Amino acid sequence: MEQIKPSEISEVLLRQLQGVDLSVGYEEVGQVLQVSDGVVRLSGLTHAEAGELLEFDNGLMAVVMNLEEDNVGAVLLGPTDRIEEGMTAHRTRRIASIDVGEKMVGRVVDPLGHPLDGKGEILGEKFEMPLERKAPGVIYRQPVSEPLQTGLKAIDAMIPIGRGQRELIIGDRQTGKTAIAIDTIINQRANFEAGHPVYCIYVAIGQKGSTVAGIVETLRKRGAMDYTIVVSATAADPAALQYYAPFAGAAIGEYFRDTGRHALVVYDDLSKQAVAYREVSLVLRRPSGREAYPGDIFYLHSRLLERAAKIINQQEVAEKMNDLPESLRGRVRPGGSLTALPIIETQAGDVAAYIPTNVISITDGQIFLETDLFNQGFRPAINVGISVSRVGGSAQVKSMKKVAGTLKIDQAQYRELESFTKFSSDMDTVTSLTIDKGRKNNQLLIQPQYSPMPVGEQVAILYCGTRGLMKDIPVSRVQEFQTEFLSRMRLMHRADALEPLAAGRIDADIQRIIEAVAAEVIQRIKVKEEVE
Amino acid sequence: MNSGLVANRYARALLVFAHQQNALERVHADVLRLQKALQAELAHQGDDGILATCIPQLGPEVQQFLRVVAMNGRADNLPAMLRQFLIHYNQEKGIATASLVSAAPLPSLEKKLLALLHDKGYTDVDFTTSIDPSLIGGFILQIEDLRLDASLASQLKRIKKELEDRNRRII
Repeated sequence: MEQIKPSEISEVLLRQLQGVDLSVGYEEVGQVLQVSDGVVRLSGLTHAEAGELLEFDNGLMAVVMNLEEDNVGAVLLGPTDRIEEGMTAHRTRRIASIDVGEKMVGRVVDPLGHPLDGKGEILGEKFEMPLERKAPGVIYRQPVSEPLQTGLKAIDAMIPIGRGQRELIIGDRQTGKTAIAIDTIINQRANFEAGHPVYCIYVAIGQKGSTVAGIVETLRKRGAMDYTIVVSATAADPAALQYYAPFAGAAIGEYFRDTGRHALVVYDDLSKQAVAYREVSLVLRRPSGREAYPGDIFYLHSRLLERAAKIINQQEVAEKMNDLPESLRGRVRPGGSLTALPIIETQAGDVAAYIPTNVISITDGQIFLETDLFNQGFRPAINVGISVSRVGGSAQVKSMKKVAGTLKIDQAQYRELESFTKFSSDMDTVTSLTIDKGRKNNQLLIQPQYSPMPVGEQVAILYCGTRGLMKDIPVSRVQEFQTEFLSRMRLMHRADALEPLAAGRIDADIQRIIEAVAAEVIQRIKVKEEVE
Repeated sequence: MNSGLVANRYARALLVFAHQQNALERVHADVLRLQKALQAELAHQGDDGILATCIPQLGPEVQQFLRVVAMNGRADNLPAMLRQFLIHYNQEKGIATASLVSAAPLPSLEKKLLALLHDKGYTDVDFTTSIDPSLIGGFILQIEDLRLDASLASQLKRIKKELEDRNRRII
């Protein structure tokens, strides 16, 4: 006999049946005139609105994109082969949206919020967040003032990112773009443990399913899924879903932002989204422009990235925010933020292509990764010369600012000097000292993947670098010095040096501690070298 | 780029031309016949060359129209033009199109619905009926692009969907 589930007791069924609305009413319908790759044209639906969800009789959904004189163009959110000419679709009177709730954290979802990780339905209270929403206006924002620690020395010291900022990660394939984003997510674990989490949303657009599975596994292993949501539209999903995926990520981020929390969203990557949007636009027969992208490709990315913001710290102003979804009324809290890390893949280092220049001009700075540096072993392979952060400086931890404030310029100077030394072998002491310090700092900035460093330790080790404390050891011993130095600091000076440094304090006492520990370690290394 | 724009202009022109030639009804009948032939041809139903035999039988106005369309290289927009023409024709004449699909023949319901539509201001209704046993019971009425789905099949579908949605948590 077939098993009867507890949910099938007559009374339960009766109660459920009583809740079913069987009243009939008029609904507005349209007939499919034409189906092409992922796009349908319908006649009828005279009152349909742009961005509205349509439902076909077989349950498939579509979003209205084009309103034309005699027909409506809609993009399908499912397989094209389930739609035939003459089928009927009706209006739902809802715009495309995603249901977001606290229980979504730790899950892998598609751009419509359906779970993809096989862990069943997402439970708990849910709030309907529209995918397309206007960014907060100027009066609901405040300048970026808090740092978002990536855990990467090179970034936190020279290209600091603040909460509410939009920082582009750009580079060729295989230069470690995703690695930077993943490390940043992993580094937020400390905030989660401290009880003030930065919720992370990783949006995978047009990637291989296996890559996404690998990333989820990495995040899970490092305990990052406790505060992370993965939105996935793989290469096998329709172009419309790939196009909507970043908007879904932004909508989830906005839920945390508007309820007074901090969120970080990674769009990996926007060049694939641009390609998906180009496909949809071309099939909809919209006029194409440069590189066959439609005219509104700039607006596509600017309106998406504009949604990253630091919300004003006044309750009475924040709750009047523009375009607030109905579901969030009465739940708005001030002071939240949404930081965005969009990723763009370049072809052969060409940053002057259409999409890279667009996104560079929209964001508040960029982290530029280079194949050459990557192959020379400098990882993260950041080209410091052309990487900038336009607002992060004001959000940097004070101690870091004091210690590493000149690091960027020093390194630029070192690179210039080094290119000169290729011509002559003898140089004055000052030059050789600068070059030696630069080389060692370069070594210091190398950091393996999945090993983000707490900010206190970063400041301590960078102090050694910028003050030239390592001048007596060879370049090859820098990594060893770092390991030894940090383990001693952790063991003996956590409370009196590392913690104040992380809190932004640096004074003569702390400097003395660092110098003393560094001297000890250098002494040991020197002795070891003599023995060898 | 905007196929609707093109089709609309040709449809309006044909309507005005039909008025000038005092042949509106003939043009309307021709357009209906042409539309049917075109659909059959595209679907590869019926005899081969159904379109070829249909065209010589059309009146001079529509023949002239087809010539202009072909000359301007807009033949691929022809189905949209015919559709638009019929919409404009119906608008001008105040005709509403309505269709009734029911599980079994319901002559009394038809009369009632016609009276109801008349009361609602649809004076001239182009009413078509069809039978679809898969509805199980009830009917689906469609007036222009409004649909009233009172069929048993869709009610059952709604119940099924609702129960599935509610039980998804438990499963």
